[in-house]
Amino acid sequence: VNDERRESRLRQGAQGTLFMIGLGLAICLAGLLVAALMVRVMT
Amino acid sequence: VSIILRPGADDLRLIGFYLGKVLLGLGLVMLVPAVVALGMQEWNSASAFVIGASLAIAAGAASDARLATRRPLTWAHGMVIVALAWLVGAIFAAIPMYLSGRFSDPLGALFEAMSALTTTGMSVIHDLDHTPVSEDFYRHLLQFAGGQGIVIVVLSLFAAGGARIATLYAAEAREERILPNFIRTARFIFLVAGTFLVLGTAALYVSLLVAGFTPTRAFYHAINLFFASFDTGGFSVMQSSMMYYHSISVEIVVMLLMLAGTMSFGLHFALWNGNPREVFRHIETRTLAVTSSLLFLGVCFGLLRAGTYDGVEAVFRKGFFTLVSAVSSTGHQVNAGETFLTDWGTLAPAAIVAAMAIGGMASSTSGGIKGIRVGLAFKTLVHDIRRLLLPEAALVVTTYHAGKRRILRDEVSRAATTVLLLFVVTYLVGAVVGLAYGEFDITQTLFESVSVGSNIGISIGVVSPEMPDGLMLVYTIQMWLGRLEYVAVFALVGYLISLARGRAKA
Repeated sequence: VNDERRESRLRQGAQGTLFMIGLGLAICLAGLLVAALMVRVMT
Repeated sequence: VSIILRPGADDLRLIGFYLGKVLLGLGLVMLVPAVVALGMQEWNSASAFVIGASLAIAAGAASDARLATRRPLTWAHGMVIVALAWLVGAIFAAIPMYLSGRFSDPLGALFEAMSALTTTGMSVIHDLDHTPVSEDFYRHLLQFAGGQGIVIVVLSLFAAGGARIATLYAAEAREERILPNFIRTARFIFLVAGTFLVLGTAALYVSLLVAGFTPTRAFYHAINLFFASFDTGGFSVMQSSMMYYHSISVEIVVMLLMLAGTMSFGLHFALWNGNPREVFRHIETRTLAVTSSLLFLGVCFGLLRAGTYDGVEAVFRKGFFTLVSAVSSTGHQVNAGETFLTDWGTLAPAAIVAAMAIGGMASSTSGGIKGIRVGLAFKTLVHDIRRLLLPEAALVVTTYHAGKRRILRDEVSRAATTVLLLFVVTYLVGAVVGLAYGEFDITQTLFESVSVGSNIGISIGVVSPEMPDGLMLVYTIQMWLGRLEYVAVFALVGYLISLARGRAKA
């Protein structure tokens, strides 16, 4: 039972880290899109 | 009639005992670069670290031997210990720096040590590009130690555990209790940091190899870059900071690490427990999402208006990176400090200053006013306006989401707005002191004052090894105040006053 719990915690931890990385990439992508739009509009 | 009580010998003994533990931990941290120095055959640096570590460990061992006590900590003790720990810790951490001979005077070394421990990242070191490996590693390691909280590190290693550590924890401006047990909280913090250490260093290592670094140098730069980025510190191995690498993949990995570092440990905990919804509902995430989006529009508009950059890539790599560096309070730079003044126009640097003032999330390693305080201050404003517009008898209730739905209470509003105001006052005081020297204009002094007061580290060029001593001292105090978010420092001042003027205990 302990092994199972440890494994599920590990999996959740890995998912949490992946989510964080995904969120970071999404923020960067949003920044890139805004930059592209602003350049389009202003130049 | 004075009703303050003078602290007794017991209280001072307790404070000394815990300070000793912090110094012992710091001494052990100094042994790591000492080993690196011996391995690299950097004899001068090795002797500096051995002397520094010996002094810190001796002070810690002496307090352990002479002052050991089992008395429980009170809130006041916790506050005083934390305020003193960052001050005394910085003084001890500065010893090997001064002995290395890379600073003009002891004040310069103290500035650098405070900058490292508070994860600010401003530097007054001479000739950074030719600093020995061990000394550079020490600067970055101090950011890690300071970022993860020296107090937490030491207590999670040495103390027996239990509720009395709670006071130390809250005083360090990280009030959020993630887990009921503080030792477990500290372990969780290190688990998250450890995971990102492995992933981040590996990603940086590969990016640097692709950029043309040799394997050894890539590893050395990767580990230092990780410390500086995830702990939102902002020191760099090279004088030219991020510009040195000319690599978009390095910049993106660093941005991801900065964003992860500015995320509060409460939210990391929610993620690690399979609750990603919390991230989107939390008042702090929402506040920072709104303010940062608006500020990025300001940066883009300013840069394009001033004609600084014209392509999408330049606006993203310079403007967006600098904004992330400011919001996360890291301080990595992708352009020389002077260009903020000469090339960036006025709107874009102003937006960066605003982003620096707001900073990142509470209970993370980032500095500044913090998203939660800005969010709560805004809610308070809306609350007051609603109360004005509704009939007097109406009961106005405002709520916000932080872990769960909470009611905005008066004392919460007051605490948030008071600290917000104190930050603004210190930003202005630092700017005025800078102006008094007559060498800089208001744009420069305000930019730099906000940057040190929020523990950011983006420099417009005021901070340098040749800067005036008085200003260096003011900036050192600003970094200390900003990191502890005032309350602990005020508790220390109050304690000193009661020591001088209080009534003896019956």
